[in-house]
Amino acid sequence: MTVMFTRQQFDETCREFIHAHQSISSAYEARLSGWSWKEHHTLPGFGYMHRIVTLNWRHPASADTFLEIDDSLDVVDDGTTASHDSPDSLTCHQYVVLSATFRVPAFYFSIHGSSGSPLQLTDIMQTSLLREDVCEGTITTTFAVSHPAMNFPLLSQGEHPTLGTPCWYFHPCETASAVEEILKESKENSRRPLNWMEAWFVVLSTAVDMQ
Amino acid sequence: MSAYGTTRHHGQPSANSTPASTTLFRRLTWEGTVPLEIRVDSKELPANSDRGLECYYIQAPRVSYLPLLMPEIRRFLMDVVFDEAAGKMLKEEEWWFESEEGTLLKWHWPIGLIYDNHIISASIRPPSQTSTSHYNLQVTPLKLILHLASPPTEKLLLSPSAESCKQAFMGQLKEADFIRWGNTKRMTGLRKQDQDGIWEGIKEHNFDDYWRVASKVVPTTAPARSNSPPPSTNTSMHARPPSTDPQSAPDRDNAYNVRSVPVRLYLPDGPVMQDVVSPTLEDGSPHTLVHYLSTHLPLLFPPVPYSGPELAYAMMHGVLVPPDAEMAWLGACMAGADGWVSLCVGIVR
Repeated sequence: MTVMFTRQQFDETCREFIHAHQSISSAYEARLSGWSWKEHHTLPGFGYMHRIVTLNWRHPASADTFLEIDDSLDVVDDGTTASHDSPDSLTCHQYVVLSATFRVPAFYFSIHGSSGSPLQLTDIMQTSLLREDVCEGTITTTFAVSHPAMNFPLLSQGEHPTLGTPCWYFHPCETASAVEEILKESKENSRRPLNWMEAWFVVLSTAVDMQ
Repeated sequence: MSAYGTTRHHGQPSANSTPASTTLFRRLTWEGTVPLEIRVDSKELPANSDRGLECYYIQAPRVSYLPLLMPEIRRFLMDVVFDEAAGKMLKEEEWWFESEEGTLLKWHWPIGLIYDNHIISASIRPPSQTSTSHYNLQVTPLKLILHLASPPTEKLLLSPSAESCKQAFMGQLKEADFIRWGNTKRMTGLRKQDQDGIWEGIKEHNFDDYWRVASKVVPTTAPARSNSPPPSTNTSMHARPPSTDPQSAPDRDNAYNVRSVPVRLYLPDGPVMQDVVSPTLEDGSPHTLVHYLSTHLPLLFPPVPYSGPELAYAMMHGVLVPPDAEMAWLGACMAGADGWVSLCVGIVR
């Protein structure tokens, strides 16, 4: 891994990124928009990006299993944004934080059902957040999704570095090396941090539906 | 690679390439324990359990983890508190611990860290207890309430199983490896047997089993640098006096050659601080604790020259760390079993 963000570079790059993707004029733009910058209430150097996204269940049957509702309730999954009153709407908090160890951005998230309780990993796998092929060849336990060839789990639990709340995160090592591959191929030899971050979002979107 | 005729990476014991003082501090760190008093929440005791015997006392290793205590606690509860029917209902994956003040205990923190963080938080909480100690630290059993169901999943990480604990622990070792060298080759290069072995050392609390593997990964202090006596001759067949060959220590594993020392700073309330900690400063002098603290928390540790009263202190494994301690030395000799120098900051009353 060759690139390292300092805290200052990360903060500046995030702000640039948020500003560059404020418009939602295209479907592509919409996927990268909606982020806002947050800071720790007293300590500097703990800032991160945050946005809230609504998710659906990939298959309506999963909603039934999750909510244990009886068959008489009509659950329609027509693929459009679910309203907050819909029984199968899920709230996903997404975060881009700076990994203190690996010095690259890391993607953290938590998903909550309408009752507010966080989803377990097996339920998370059934939501529209993860692309179906992400978990090919992986082993899932209650606490992680791992691939035998990787040094670190692909997806595991960790505390949000600023908020301290339990989240799931993609190991930054794996995404960072994929980004390096992309940038190697890129014609622009520009190594500006913003380019890195945008390439990072591209890599992330191969695993995560960025909506 | 090593002039002692053996290398740390060929499976030979490392005692002959590690200064005695390093081994001493590693052993002291390993053997530290803290007193815990564990009580099941009285509301969760079944009607026919024996309430008079509900407290379990344990002197727990600082380097261990709460989930590793659970089998022992379970045996106690089965023998003394619960009858067979109630005992069958116990589901360890739903257990969670809370302090008397309502702080949720993190199962992924080493027990020593939980304890120190707790006594520091207690020392600054009003009303102040009468204490002869300047720091107001009460070294008493940490009273824990064990809940058997309904873990607060929005605040605590899930799955306090030994397996998830192991994965988290191995992750910490790999991160420490990465911080030191920019890659995780030393950790990932270990045979599966060794990777499992290092965790077994934690589970069984066995110093030799742990260090058999850890010595392949953790940096050592070079004998030529330190003032320690040379390795004792009765443990080594290959030792040579350090003074005959100052370059003899394998430089690539030297604590002062790391890129950065794995250090985390824990304030009483608040996020964990982690930053690059180079072993030496720009002028070539060793990076000391006082320099690290005054750079990162200048309001609590005002930079030299400062002649006012002491505002704060740093503690590690229950010990107040002297300001002139070298960060690289701490990383080699007093790191936690997870590879990290975990400093707890306390405020002087």
